[in-house]
Amino acid sequence: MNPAVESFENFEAALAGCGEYVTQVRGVSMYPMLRYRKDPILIHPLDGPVRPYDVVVYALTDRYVVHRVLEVHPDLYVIRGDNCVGKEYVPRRLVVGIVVGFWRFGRYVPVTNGLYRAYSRLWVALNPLVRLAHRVRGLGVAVIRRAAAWVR
Amino acid sequence: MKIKKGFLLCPVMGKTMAISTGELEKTFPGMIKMNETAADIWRWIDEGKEPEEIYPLYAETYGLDADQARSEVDMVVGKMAEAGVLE
Repeated sequence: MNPAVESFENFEAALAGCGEYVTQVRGVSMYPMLRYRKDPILIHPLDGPVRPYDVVVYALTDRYVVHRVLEVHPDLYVIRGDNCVGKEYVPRRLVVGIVVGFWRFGRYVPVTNGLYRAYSRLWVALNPLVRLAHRVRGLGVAVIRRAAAWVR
Repeated sequence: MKIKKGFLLCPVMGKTMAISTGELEKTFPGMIKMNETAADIWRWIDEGKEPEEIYPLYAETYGLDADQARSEVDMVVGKMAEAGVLE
């Protein structure tokens, strides 16, 4: 097999040129599935129907967001990050890609993997606990701040 | 000749994608896609081998004659240099 090397300068060029792109997420909104700057994801252009539990890429004016689809409606998707509490209502036209797999500890995990599929469904079902954890953490921070102000 | 620090190799289904991490992302926000053959050459360079050491290794691994091995290795090294991977 002859060696082949292709270079793409960014996300748009790669999706258009070779139909896939690999990157790392910059944020914690998809934790624990994706860890900040640790777990690369493989993105393909959107060329079929999007289903609940799919992780999609949508475009904002200044960046791309990688979050999970909860509901599919005729003109929009209801989307949320695995580590977020708020839902996003995203017009279909903004969704440009879909995550087809990711690397965890160097091993590629396709989204068709049975364990991953079980995780995605369980994690969406457990979102009320994520909300509770965020509230408890927020309360803890507020208490610490008040105590620090009182000590001063 | 060596590969800039900060590239991460992501192999999947017969191909390997190299992406930049850390500080390198600022100067190289894109991606390099290679087949298995090119990825082997990348790894040998990453191990610190010079092209003169890679030619016979590549020829032996893929059953090629010296001229063809040299030509293919040089092509990959050239594309890597063009993409800004090497320093």
